[in-house]
Amino acid sequence: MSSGPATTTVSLHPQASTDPQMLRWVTTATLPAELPVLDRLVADGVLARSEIGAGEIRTWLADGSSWDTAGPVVRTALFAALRQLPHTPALSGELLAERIAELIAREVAPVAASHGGGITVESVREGVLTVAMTGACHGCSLGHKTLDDLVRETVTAHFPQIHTVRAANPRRSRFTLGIPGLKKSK
Amino acid sequence: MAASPPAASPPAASPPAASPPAAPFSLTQLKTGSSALIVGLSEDAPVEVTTRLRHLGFRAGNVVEARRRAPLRDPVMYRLLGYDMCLRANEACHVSVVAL
Amino acid sequence: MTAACHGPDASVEPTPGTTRIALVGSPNAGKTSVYNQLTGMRARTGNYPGVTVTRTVGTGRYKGPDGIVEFTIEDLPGTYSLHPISPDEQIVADVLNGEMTGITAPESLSVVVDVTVLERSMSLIAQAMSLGKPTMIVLTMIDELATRGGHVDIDAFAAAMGVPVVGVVGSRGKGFDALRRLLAAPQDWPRAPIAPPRDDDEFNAWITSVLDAARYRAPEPDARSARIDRLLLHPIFGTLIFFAVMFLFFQVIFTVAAPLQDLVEQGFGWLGTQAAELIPNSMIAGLVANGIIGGVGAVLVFIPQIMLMFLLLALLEDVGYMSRAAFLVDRVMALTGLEGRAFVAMLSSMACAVPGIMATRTMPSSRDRIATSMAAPLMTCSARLPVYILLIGLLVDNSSRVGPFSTQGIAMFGMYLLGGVSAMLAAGVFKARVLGGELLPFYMEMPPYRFPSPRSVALSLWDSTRAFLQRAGTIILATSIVLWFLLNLPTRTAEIAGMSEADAAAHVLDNSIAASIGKFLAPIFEPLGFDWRIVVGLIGAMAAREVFISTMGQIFAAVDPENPTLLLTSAAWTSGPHQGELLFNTPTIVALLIFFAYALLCMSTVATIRRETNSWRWPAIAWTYMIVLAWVGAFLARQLTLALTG
Repeated sequence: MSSGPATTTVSLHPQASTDPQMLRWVTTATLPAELPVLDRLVADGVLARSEIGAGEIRTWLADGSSWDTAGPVVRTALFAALRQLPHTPALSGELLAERIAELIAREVAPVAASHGGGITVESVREGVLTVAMTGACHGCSLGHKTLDDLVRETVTAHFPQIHTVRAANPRRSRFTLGIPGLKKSK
Repeated sequence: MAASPPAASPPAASPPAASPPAAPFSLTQLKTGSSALIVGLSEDAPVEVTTRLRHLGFRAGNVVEARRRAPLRDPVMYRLLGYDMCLRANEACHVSVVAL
Repeated sequence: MTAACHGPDASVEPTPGTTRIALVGSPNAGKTSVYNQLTGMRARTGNYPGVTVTRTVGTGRYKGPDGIVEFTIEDLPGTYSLHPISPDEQIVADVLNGEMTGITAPESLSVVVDVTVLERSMSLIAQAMSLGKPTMIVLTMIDELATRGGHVDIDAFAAAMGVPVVGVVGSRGKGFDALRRLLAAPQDWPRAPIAPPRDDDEFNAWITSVLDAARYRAPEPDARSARIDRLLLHPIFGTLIFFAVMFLFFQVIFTVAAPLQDLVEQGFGWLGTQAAELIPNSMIAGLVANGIIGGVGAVLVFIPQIMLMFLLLALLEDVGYMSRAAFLVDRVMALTGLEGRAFVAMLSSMACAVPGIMATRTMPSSRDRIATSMAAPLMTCSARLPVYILLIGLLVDNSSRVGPFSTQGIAMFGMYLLGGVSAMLAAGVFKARVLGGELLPFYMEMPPYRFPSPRSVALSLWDSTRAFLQRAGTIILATSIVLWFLLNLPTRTAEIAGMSEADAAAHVLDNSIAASIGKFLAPIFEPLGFDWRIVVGLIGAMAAREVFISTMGQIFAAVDPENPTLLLTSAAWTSGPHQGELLFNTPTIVALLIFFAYALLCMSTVATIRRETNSWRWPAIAWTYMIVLAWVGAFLARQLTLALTG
């Protein structure tokens, strides 16, 4: 039952960004390289342009429009399109690596960076993701998860075709996560 | 271990075309202790009732479990979306469910 | 202080110059805790204009770097949805849309949500956000979420929603600094880019996505609550425990309160005596001692009962047992169109209708509250008990038996049964006919069992007691003073100079204003077999039913006015067609019993109905229908008795 994102339910929600003209449409669906619906929206003058990223679709508002009116239109269109997506659309190796890198840069790297660490993608090959972790961390606020787990969860949630996540350096830094005194859950 | 799935109820039968489609029945007929998937609300029901039921979570796609019956058979305590809500048969009869 | 019926309640106006934030949330979400933490003793309660719905407004304070900023919080009635389906909920919708006369719409909203049921709550959050006002979310019970194995990333949730989100533990005051800082400046709140979707499927997709982004993991079902419910909701054991709890509840307000009430009475009695001794003028002394001090005592004598009842109600409610109790008894209450929660109000009314009617606040529907308030006074209350004892004692011999049971006991039980059945019937009639028959859907949440927060309990206790004192108390005091005047004037000091105390008291009463009223009204009561002296007794009973006994004692010049039985058995009509006949014959006693069962004599109850329904209409209706019922019932009973006894 809980097999991650391989569900038939669509998920989609908008988030504002630093650019008031740009809205990020966040979804757990694995996005293909292109979505015809986006081209249609641009052609209809609702959007100025769009970009598909890892787990999100970035849309820029067309001139003279507002998100109040354009937003619901875009949402309905995207929702309809996402409903018809296959579970794991075929993604070229290069695009896949690009998307994973974007995802890690957005969601995992900031956490690592806040504790003096870093993480980058080494390679993606046949369902195996290899990452390189740098720096050291102590007492970070991730709770009961280690950085490894965060990477694994984040990546496999968006890209079910990845089944293994490995670290390039043999010595992984394991943080004491959680508040001292709390029992380590795992 | 996948990312924490949202508390949304799991959908009906993920493998496609595994079992024949089940016939919908009324929530009042759900046996105590069993669960079912909500498929819709009766169209004959007054609009305020169905609107309120939907806002309480009795929406198509959610799973509901009949937890307990009152000593005199009515009302019934249902569990859905992680909480317990009691309904009388008068209201529960408007909810259509199918077996999970 | 009696506010105008139709204008806004002046005491609950928001503090001018402050920003107004409305608290929206479902019942059981911990909204009251949040409100109490923010406003504490600076909360004010009243009513929305013209309706029975309580309005709660308070002032919160944020101590910022630039000084103290105040803001007004309005705690809207708990609701699962902002789309109204009942008059009460219409109030909430009207207030939010600025459509309530005399009340401007709040500028911003704070949606209080129990994070352990976040998924279900998204519907209400979405509706609030769709109103287009600055909105923020308060997540309560975050400690419970963690304990039950759930999880949420509040910052991620806030980013996904586009509005500020704060996590708090209401009962312990955790997280409130951040909340206060936000509430001090709603104009700075980020707003969601688009309103949430309306279409069901898109809505589900939105919820799924947001909760996923927030890494929300729903908590495990509360194992402890499930274990407790296996016992408390067991069809047999649960019902037994329910009866036991209700019995205990009743006993507390009936028995435990009694000694405290006696203390109050004695205290005021002593005070009255002191006053009487100190004041030279006997009339003023009487007025101060019996009218005013006695009147204040008559109000305060209710306080132990009310406080105890509200304490128990708050505990039962906060712990979560009330919904279980209502669940068990709902089917029975549904027979009259009411619901399970009405049971507690009816039960409390067997001790006294004053706390019973105040207990109707636990019911969400104002129609249910009114129907229950109209019917509650018919329940046999503790004040009727001494009157019943006296009358049944006159009617039936102490030693008489029917089988193994004492006839007096059976008669008493019969009176209780009559009260109970009449109350249920009256509730049914009011609910069905008078208040409009359309049935609202019934639904009731069963929250997990939780430890009640002492602070919340204390605040609710304080609030209800203060409400009683302010509204009902003034009326009861006024009535006591008026009745004193009626029963004790003119003083006729000269005439009673040489008489014994009992005779003097009788003489004053015989020639008082009340007596004139009694003689004037006597023709109305003659078909019931009551003479003017009984009518005077009924007037006295308006202060409190048991005063009937002492008034009768006084009129018949009983040496011990509290025990007039002997005199009453031999009392006779002094004039008119029945002159010389025994006054307290069987048909008359039966009529009197029925009259007391039905008549709403007690002004305290009238005052409480006034306070709870925020108008004079409903107390007037109650008083009228009950006096008619009493007269007709007494008349029929008398005729029946005459026919049966020949």
